[in-house]
Amino acid sequence: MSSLNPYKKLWSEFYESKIAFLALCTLLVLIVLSLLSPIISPQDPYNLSDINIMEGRLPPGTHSERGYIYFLGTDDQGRDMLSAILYGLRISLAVGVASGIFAFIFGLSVGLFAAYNGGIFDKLIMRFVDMQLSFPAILIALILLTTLGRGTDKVIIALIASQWVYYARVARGTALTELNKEYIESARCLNLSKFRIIIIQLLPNCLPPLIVVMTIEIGHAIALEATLSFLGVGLPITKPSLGLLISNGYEYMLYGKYWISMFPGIALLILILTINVVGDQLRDILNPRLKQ
Amino acid sequence: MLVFIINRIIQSMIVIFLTSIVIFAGIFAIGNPVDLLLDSRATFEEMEQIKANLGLDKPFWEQYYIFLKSSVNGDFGHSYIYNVPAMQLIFQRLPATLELAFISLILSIIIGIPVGVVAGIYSKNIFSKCVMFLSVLGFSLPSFWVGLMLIMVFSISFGWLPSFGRGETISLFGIEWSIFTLDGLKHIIMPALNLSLFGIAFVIRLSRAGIIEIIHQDYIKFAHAKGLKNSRVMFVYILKNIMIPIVTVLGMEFGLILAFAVVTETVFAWPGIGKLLIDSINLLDRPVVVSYIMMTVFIFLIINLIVDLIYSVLDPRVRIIIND
Amino acid sequence: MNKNKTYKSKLIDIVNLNTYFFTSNGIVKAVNGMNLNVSEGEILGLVGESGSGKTITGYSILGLIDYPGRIVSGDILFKNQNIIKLDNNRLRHLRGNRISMIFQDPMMTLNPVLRIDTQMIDTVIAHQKIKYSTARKLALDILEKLGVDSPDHRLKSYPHELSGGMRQRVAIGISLINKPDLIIADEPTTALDVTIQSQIIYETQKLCKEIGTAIIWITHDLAVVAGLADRVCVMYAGRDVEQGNINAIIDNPKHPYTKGLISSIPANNKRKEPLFQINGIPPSLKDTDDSCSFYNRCNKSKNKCKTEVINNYFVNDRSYRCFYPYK
Repeated sequence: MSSLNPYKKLWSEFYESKIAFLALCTLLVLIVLSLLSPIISPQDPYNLSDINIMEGRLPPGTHSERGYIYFLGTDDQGRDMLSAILYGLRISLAVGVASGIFAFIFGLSVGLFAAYNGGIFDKLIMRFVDMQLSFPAILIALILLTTLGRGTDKVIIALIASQWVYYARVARGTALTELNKEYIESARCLNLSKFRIIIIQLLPNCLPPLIVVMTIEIGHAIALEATLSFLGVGLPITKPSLGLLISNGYEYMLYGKYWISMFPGIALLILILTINVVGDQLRDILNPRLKQ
Repeated sequence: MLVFIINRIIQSMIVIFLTSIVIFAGIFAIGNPVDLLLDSRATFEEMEQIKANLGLDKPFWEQYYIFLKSSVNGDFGHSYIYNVPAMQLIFQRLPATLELAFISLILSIIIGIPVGVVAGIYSKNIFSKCVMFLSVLGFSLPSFWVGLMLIMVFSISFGWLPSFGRGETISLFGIEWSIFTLDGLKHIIMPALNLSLFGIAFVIRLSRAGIIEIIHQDYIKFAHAKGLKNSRVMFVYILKNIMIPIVTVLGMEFGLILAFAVVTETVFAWPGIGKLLIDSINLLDRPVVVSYIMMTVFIFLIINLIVDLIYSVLDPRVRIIIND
Repeated sequence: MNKNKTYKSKLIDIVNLNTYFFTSNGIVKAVNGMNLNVSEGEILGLVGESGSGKTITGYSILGLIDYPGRIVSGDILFKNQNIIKLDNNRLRHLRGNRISMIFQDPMMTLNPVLRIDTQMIDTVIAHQKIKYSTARKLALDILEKLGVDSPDHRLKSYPHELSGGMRQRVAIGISLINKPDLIIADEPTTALDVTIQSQIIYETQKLCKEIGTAIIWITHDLAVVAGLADRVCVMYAGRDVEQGNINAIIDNPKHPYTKGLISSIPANNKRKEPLFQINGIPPSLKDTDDSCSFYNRCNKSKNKCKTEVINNYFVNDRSYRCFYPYK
């Protein structure tokens, strides 16, 4: 086992599931598409001069006067759905990943702190974490948004606040197991500084399960943000994520103009699905490893 | 056992008390709800008058004390919009949400457990692999979008089912039920299915994992070695063991169902407390939001207590811990 | 003519049993040409190391081999009926009723969420039409006979409320409650304290004698078998290498492996001498063929042992599988 690069081994185990591999490729494609959205979309759907309200609510495949095809139709304002979806993907991903990373940092810190110091800190913190964990994230986000109000930053704060507990719990659990191991004891005997022990010795060994949590939680964050935006309490209309696009198209479904809601939904679905499949596979690989 | 219950009740009361402080601080102390109620041309005096009427000019602790006193009597303030006691609004709408939630829970049990168990017994099968993939789909599908698609297919394209609202109700024991009327059933089936999707996925995965773990245990082999019928081994020896983790998850699942009801009720215009919550958030009707939260916390605590009690009935090993 | 025990028909006769496991790493021949027979009321010790196939032989008799394993070939004659071909329904009538099995770890044998009386009474009701109260009385009786104190209280208990020895007694009670013809005891005392071990061995032996039940006592400890069994079957790498009357074999072992086992018993040592060990380790059960599997650990082996197929040789009432046995 020492002759194989651990990353190579991880990759080959991951590749064992063809479905997970396919999901990973799809996810990477989506990420690249969303990053390149300003370049590859036929139009900029949020530039008022680019869109034509007379061309609103057109079904997929209609030709535009400007020479490109509305592959996925247009919404009520005349925006090309394909472009709107690409931009929306970018926002959904950005919000999901940003909140995920900050929740990860905060949760990891609290978890490590609680595990390392133990005693009353640990008890109090974990009591609070357990209490919050017994409430669904969506309720916590909704309540926070009631008090904080509207705005992108407030949404991200609400997402972070509802998610950090998952990271904290796993971080603390892993840290507690690791702290009992000999390398920590020897580090303490060598009188290394607390900082060194925690950051350089303890932290890297706690990462594998947290990476699994992060993958799955980013999927949850994206879904949660979409739900909040759909309900009208999420991102403002200047930052139209996929959730808002779906919400916009809601009323037009009754008139048979299904594409305004359906395609953003499919994009959202594929995004979340691929993240979940990849996360599932990662969890299957990394968990038995931990038991060794 | 009685000591255990009393202990839990005391713990729960502490939780409610702490939550109420946090909620109160969060919702009432931040921001100025008066702004919404008046248009921008209101004079300063008018604003002060409204503030005084609503008791918003008093210091924080006094406001909290008044809140506490009246909430013990069940009075959580009046809705800013409807001008009736906020808790009353909640109680009016609660039966609709509970009905939806229970039907969803039952759906997740009657679909989830059998499918999960079969997938566990024949775990190398293609059926099992399909089921696992579909269950990942179950978590990944954003529930509001599924609701929209359901409406599109069954209401708009086929015209079989109504797309919004609650159907006809019948009054039983003083509560309105819609599941006993055909019209009510037609109205409830889509939202209940929508709401139960993630629950079905959960229960399938859990049942399958439970079966795979239990079926290879020595005590199951011994049960076969005793010459018991397969049906007895399945329904008594295996199932009783598997119910333990499932019941715990069901408790958590019911909580999630209540939370996601907010979304489903919005999509299907179901007149429950979820829809009431969203409307109140949008209209900044804070007393209603507070009442919703307190009611939800209360329901969650009860669910946890019931799950623990059921758990101790199912698993005799836990009873010793409780009785000590 | 009355010493012709060999002509007494066998209660169970296993002939050339092969049970293989078809894994993704290859075929594991857990039981590879096994022969074993037991007469009515007789106690046979089945001795071998871990992994020699003893437990799988027991499971094969009852038809409890799970995927990816399968009985590939062979015959198991129980009361002159070949039970290997029986469908699961008919086998079920034998299990727990005419042939029972006791597993090794009493902690894992009993279902943790069911009461003791439920688990015992289930065994009776599965095989006879009988009233609940009568079945319960049977359970009570057998627990008393096995030396369980306050049996009525124990019946109402759950497995985790009993000690290891108590649980094993319950398991033995379950096996014997229908007065079976044969009971397969798979290392029933290995997981218990030494003091309890002898008690349980004594009680089981007494009860079986009373009922007339034959026992296949599976163990890795030849010393246990020496005091208990009438005959012994020594198993190595999936098949029998020597079988016969216990005293004859212990006084005069023919197969090198048997001789090695006997020498390894610490009691046979002179003080201060190093303990005897058989060199080497047991072979993997994946690539076995029909030549002698003890070849690489035997100090008497010759080329023939590696290349030629070895079958049993029969002398009087014994069998052994060796080209160059001890005299």
